[in-house]
Amino acid sequence: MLKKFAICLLSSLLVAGCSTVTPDKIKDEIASYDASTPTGYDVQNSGFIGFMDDGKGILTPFGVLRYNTLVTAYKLKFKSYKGVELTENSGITEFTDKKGNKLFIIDQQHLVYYAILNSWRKEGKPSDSIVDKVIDKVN
Amino acid sequence: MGTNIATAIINAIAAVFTVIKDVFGAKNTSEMKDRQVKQKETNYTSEAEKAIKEKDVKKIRDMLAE
Repeated sequence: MLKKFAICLLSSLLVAGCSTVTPDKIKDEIASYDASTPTGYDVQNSGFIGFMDDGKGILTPFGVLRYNTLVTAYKLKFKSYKGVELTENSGITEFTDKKGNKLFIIDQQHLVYYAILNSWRKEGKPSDSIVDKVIDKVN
Repeated sequence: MGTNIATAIINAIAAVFTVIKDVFGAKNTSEMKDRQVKQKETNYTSEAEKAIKEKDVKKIRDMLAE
């Protein structure tokens, strides 16, 4: 009886001890629909049209809006994590394509930041709180 | 005699638990968790940088998906 109990207890402890302790990054899904995409481009683009020859990215107006929303939501957490203070439209410049459509260019570094911020949102990471503001003021 | 054997068995089980806690419990310290989270962030950043370097439009669109 005691032996069975011990085996059960040992097994459950081993299983608990071997469990994953941190969640994996959210798996990236397929590109999302972007209504602000000008005619002639694939609308299933997540707000990202493509790359310029120099490697910079081209965003739609809604892509920039989403980027700025994320910057506002995670400004302090990002500063704490990366040591970089982002502001609205950081790394963004206006661009007009050959057809006269108003689009935006984002540099490579800020495109990486955009991907990180978006992964935080998908993971459900809470946006900046009062605590983050206090920590930022103290630092 | 029977009591001594039972006590010895319980002590042995307790010792095994202590060893298991020392080995596996270390995974659950906040320091280890922080390190794992940072490692995952670093991996994700590298993944994004690689996609940009290779101009992988599909990968970037997937990463920026809502």
